[in-house]
Amino acid sequence: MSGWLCAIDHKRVGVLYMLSALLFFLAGGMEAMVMRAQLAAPGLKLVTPQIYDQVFTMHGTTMIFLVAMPVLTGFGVYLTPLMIGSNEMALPRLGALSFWLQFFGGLLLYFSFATGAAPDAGWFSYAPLTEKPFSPSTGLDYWALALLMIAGGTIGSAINLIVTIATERAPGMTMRLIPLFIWMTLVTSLMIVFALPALAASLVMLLSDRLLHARFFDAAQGGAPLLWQHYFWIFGHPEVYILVLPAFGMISEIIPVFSRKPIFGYPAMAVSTVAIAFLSYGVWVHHMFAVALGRNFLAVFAAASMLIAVPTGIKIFSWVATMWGGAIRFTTSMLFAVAFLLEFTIGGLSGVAFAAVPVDWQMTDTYFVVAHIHYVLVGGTVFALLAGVHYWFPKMSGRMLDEKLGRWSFWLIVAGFNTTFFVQHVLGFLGMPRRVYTYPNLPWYGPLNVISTFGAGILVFGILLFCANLAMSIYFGSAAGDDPWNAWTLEWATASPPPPQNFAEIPQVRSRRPLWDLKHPEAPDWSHEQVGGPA
Amino acid sequence: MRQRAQLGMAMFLLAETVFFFLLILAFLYFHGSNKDLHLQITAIYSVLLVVSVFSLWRAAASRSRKWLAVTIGLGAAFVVGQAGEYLRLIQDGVTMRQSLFGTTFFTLAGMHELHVLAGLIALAVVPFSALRVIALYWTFFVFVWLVIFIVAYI
Repeated sequence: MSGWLCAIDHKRVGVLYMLSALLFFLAGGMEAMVMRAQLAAPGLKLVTPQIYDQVFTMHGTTMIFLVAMPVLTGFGVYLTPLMIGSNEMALPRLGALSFWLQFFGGLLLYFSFATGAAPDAGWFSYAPLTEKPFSPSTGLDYWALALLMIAGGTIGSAINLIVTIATERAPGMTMRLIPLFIWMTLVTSLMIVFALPALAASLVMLLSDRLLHARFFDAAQGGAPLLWQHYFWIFGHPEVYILVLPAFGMISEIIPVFSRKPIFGYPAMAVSTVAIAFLSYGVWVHHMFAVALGRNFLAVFAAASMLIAVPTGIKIFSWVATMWGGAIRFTTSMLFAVAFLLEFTIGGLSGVAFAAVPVDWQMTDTYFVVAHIHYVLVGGTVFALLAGVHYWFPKMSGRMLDEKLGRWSFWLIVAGFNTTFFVQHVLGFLGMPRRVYTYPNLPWYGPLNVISTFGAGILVFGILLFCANLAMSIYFGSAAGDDPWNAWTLEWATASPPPPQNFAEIPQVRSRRPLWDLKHPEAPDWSHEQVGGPA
Repeated sequence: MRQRAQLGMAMFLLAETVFFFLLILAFLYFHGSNKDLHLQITAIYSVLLVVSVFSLWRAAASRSRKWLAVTIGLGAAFVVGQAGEYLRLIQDGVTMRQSLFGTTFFTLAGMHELHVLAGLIALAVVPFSALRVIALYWTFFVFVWLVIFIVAYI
């Protein structure tokens, strides 16, 4: 036990991140089910409006700050040293500190339930609703303090990843040879360093208002509630890409291995990632189109938002081109990766639609937004994560996941997810506002909502099956061996699970597929690739 | 090892740059009047803080406890001087609650002072081998103070 509590080894810290994310995922999932139960039929009163507000706020905050970011960080921390051929993170104690800041931030947030008043202003907590006169309970103080801790922990782990990738790479592994997952982790970490401080600044201002009677966001006293929206979304939009770029990285590792082809367009992949990072800082106002900010001003942000579709499209194209003509093996991991391509594209397309200002005006604050964000974050991030879990679980545990259970959970999750969220597009068209605890019996509202709730039930069943697969395979799974997928990156060059010192001998890296080179000395990649040049 | 720590600190300071940039931007956005601030006495403390950068690099280069003590003394003088400035302002009725100037000034200067305090603690406890990394931090926050001083006082 103390081996885990005091762990500074990157593999243990990584697993701690993932376990804590799983714990909070179950909490956030239960909150989602409370909402879906309450919305199952018109006029239901299972929970009060006050509780409903707390539940949707905690659901959003939990899933973004306590599930998605930590689990992606966990994968980054676990895999980065292994993939770049290093035995440790550059700053191991900072790694442990970052995790515990994150974890206790999560506990602090959930402690607010025990005080009887969880935060209830939504995950982006707009002022002036969050000001003391309108939210007098302590819920938002817990929210802001917890997020400050989480922001600190997240920045710490990002710094650690940046320094590790900069200084700990195996001999010969230039930036043109690092795996794409490492590229995306690096860019994500830099984005965290530039974006999370905006959240911290917003929270400091909010706490000053609430606890020290400052008046940043108090319009009655000359303050500017809009300032919160600007600052929060300067953090909040890059945050979307912070949540999805590591997922892109996972997909970029998984699709080539299960298509038996090197990734198509490695340089385009790396460059488009950097492009997304830059563009993501110039689009925050598309969350604020409903604010009267001036037509030309909005047009600039609409154009920038649509522009992000270009580098993202390049990625989708590269993944499909990698699969094209490949000898595809449809393992559960690959199934999730392919589902990711489809679901994320739906989320991306509804996003491009939204970037048009008049469409946004029509749809803002309706269930269309809910559908969009869930197609991006579940259809995108979570599906990629599930692909990643099925891909790397053998490495982390030394055991294979059960493929039959995996397939069952895959189809249940795909069916449940689409049933839950696809109809919410339509509810949005019909004008159903989000974040309202119940609704009148208008045409189609009842049937579509009951379909959505039914889908959520299937989704829960699929996720429970996935969890059961994890739990059972740890004990009863067949032995994985070092390299069950016949993969090409360095994490598969060591034992499963890797020993405390990852590599007995760190290989010289001369191509993007160092393990291929080791396995095929007769035809290594570097013999026919210009070393360090474009593939 | 030192290279890793320095790069890590540089990344941390990048994050701090964004943080203080936004607080300074908020200060400028509300453009309150600085007529209540005390320019001359604050200028003296600010000069002491700038001098502390030189004494700290001296301490780091020569591993001298004497110069380190001088640095901590100069830093502490700044912290005390700032506390005096806050007290004078509060006595004059300039508080966070009273005006937008008070709100933005106290938040900005207060967050900076918290960082200087943390730096003082770090200077007092870290071994000489890590002093260069802390010196990066210290120099950065002296620079941030110069920006705040120019923005708020001049």
